[in-house]
Amino acid sequence: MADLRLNRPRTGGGWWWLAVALAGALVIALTAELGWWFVPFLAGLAVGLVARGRGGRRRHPVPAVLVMTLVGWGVPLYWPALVQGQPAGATARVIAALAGLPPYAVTGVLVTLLVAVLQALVGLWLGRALTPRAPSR
Amino acid sequence: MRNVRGRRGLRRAVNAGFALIVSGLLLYVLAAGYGTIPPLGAALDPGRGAWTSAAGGQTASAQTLSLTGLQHPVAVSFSAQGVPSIQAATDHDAYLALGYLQARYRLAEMDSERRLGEGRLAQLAGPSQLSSDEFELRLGLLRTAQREWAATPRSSAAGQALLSFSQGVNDDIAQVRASGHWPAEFSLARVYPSTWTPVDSLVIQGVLTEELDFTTTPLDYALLEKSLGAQRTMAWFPVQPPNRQSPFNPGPYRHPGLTPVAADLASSVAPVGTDAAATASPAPSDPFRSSQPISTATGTAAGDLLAQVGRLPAGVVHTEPDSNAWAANGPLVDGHGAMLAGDPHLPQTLPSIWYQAALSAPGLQVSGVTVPGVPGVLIGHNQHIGWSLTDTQNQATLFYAEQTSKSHPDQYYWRGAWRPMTDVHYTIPVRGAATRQLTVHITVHGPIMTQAGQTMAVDWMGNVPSPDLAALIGINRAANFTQFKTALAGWYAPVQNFVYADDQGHIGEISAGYYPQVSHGDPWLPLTGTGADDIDGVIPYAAEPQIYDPPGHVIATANQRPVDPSYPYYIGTSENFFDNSFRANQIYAVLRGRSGLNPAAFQALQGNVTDNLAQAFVPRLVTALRQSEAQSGGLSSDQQQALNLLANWDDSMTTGSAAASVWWTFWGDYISAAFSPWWTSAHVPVSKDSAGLALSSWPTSLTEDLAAWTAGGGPSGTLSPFALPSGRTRTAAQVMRQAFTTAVAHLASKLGGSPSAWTWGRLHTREFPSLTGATGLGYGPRASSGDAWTVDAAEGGLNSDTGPSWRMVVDFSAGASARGATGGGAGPALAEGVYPGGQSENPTSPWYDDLIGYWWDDRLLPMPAAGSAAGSVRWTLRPPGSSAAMAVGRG
Repeated sequence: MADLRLNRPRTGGGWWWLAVALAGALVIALTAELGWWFVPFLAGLAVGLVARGRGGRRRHPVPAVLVMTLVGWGVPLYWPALVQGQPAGATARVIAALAGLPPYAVTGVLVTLLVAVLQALVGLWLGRALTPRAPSR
Repeated sequence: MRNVRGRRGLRRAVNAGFALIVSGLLLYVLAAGYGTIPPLGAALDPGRGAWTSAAGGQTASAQTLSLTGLQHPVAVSFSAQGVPSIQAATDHDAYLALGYLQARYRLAEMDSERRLGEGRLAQLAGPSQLSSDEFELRLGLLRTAQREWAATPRSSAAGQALLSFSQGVNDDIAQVRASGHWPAEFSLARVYPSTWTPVDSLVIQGVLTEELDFTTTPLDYALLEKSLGAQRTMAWFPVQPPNRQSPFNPGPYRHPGLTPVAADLASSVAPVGTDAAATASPAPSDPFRSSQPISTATGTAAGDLLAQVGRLPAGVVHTEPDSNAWAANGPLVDGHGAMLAGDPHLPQTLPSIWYQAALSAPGLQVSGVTVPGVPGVLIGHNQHIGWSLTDTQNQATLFYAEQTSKSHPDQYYWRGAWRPMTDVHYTIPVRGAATRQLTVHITVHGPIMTQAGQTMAVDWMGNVPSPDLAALIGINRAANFTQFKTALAGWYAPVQNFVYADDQGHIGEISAGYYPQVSHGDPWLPLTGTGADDIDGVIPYAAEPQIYDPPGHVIATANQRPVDPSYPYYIGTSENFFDNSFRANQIYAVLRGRSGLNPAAFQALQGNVTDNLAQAFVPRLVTALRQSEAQSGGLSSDQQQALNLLANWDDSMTTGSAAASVWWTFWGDYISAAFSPWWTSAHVPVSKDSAGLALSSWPTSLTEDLAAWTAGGGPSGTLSPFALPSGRTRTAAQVMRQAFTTAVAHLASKLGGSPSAWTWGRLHTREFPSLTGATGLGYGPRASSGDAWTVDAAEGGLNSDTGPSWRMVVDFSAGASARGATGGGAGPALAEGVYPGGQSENPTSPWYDDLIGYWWDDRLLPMPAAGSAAGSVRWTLRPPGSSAAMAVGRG
């Protein structure tokens, strides 16, 4: 029994984390449309709580929150451009310029995604910090 | 073991604590912002933040919109460049639709302008704009607008237009609030526009008045007198300019006395210091009388006030004399009739100060440019008349040194008694800092602008409630010069040269507005506030500069002094702040005696880059340099080549001209060579107002002095600029040689290579900056022709940001019909115009800067005729209930 318990993966493998990332991305994307900008933080927090509680390795949760936030905010950024032909690149450039940053589209996109990623990583950190470590193998 | 677990537990607790603190801080900053950093979480949210402004980057398409307040459906059609033609069944609907469209395409600009005038910039931009807010609240644009609205009958045409227009703006704000698709400026700052009111429109009218009419030149005169002395100051900055000028109204003149100005109109509040409140008292010793030298206290006050002005956003106070408008008729015009051209020179920004539109309603058929935030067409045409404006630039700002005493706190001495000041209190919200309280003290002269050294009040005609909108509506509807003139009788500020042409072949001009007159004291200096130097009245309307169907068949205004020295009223000095007439001289030189003028000729003249001063001066310079070389030799190879360039130059400031660079650099060095020894010797306090006192700013008077005195004449002895403080004398030729040597050295150092490669385009550019101040959202810098004195003016330095902000040609001539031109409806046979920018303020919109190419190439576009479709994109605006509202993106 003890051997079996030791050999069972505690947090699932890469596919499990991918599923978590995509589900999180969907939630983040949908709530962004409601103006719930703080959801990346909550998503990171949730991942942190789950990952620590399940004793998962750090190499999975971090890429997972990166994927969920980059997709979760990245898709809504470009969705109007893809569907309605709105000028996403030009808007990104304008946002960067108005923010006093170098007036390039990539700057606007990076700053926006940085806001999401920062939230998610800090949420992940908090989730892990608040959760007791699962019994070591 | 227990210690190890304890240490791990402590580490976990510390880690959790840090994580909590960092999470809290991050979320707080993202939610609430920090200092001037906006709440970036919501601002950058992809679904609701600034990204939603992308919707405005799409091309406009057919829409039906429901607008609250409409009485009947309104048809709007757009030209390919986004210029709307509004067809409404009532004036109310026309102005409502205009308000809606302006807000739809310029809401951020409109909100920014009203914030400027109402002292609310710091709420948006933080402490950096607090000084501007305090200045504007002291000056009183908001108080004046409130008084104007209070004095506007709600049932009057102006009252109705303001209410309808405000409704249209608020319809747009409501739509945007519902959709969440704010312009990025709002989404990023998370500060949103409040409900639009008629007072907001009147504040924007006040901002424009300030930009055109408020001057600080008396403060500069005070500092000049204090450093250079009164005699030298008035010799070098005289009331009447010494150079050749082209007044469009050469007289004869009449002096029918003065029109009294109601007591409460001379200040920015209701009458203060009433007799009931006054305390009779013997006159205190008056430390300031205009017959006495400028005191140190006055100099300190002037310096403080100039520093306040220096901290205002660029362009708020007018420093450049500019704008052209001319009209011709009769035998000069192809097929006779009348033609009009106008190009007001203002800061060239993206978005532009203008929003172009055509309005049609019963009795209202007008097309032209509007000011975002203000109903009515400011420059344009209707079926019968066309008009354009230039700034008259008379002195409309008087400064008063108020007599105060510690034994009479909060009082000032005026007309034999101590009077209480009126206090007005303001609360200024400041982003990222504590709210600021401001108390403005007001005397009978106007608001106290500084108490540094000397208590100084300003009596500015822009603070006189001026029913400009009523006048504008009258102009929009006028069918002849009589109606045009009648409408302008109610225009007080800013004083403008209204140039006119009509379909009956008449042309005219009226420089309408208030010209304050004092019977005692020198108005170009700060005046005493004791009452002796108060304004006695203004020039009667009938005696203001004006002209109708002149015998020469041409009228040209280019901000030159409109009248000659025999005009019997004071209108300002050479430095305060008329143009030096070089542009007017050039326009008259091109138009006088011509025949067969057509729109193409007018258009070509708008793009004329001949430097009129160079035309008159360069031959003299070349002669002086050749004589100098013959006498003393010593021209270097570069100097010889530069001299040859000048000798063979056609005086055109084209980008490819190397002679243009030599000329322009020479003139700056000539001013410096002539006057800098005196500036240094007298310690002229240039740092207090570099825009007005520095020789590098090329004061208008000094250029006029050198233009005239180089040819001979001018003050002699130690008052001659060619003398030196040491007593040594120089000739004009010697100073020219010195300046030429310096100029060639400057150019060689800056541009290198051979003088033939020193082309003007390498030295001179134009730039249209973004109104937001954001780099990357403007246009340029781009190599450009023209200079500050060419008809196609480029002002603001070697990287010019001021110039023709709108070019228009209106042709009422019979020849137009013969040429097959058609305006597409009732009105002039041909009306064209363009401004450097675009109809939308959204940088992602195709209508953001699409007009610049036309402007740059001196091409004009047909102005939509009122009452006819401007293009194929059509909107229908309906009253609520008659059609469903549609979710719309912003252009």
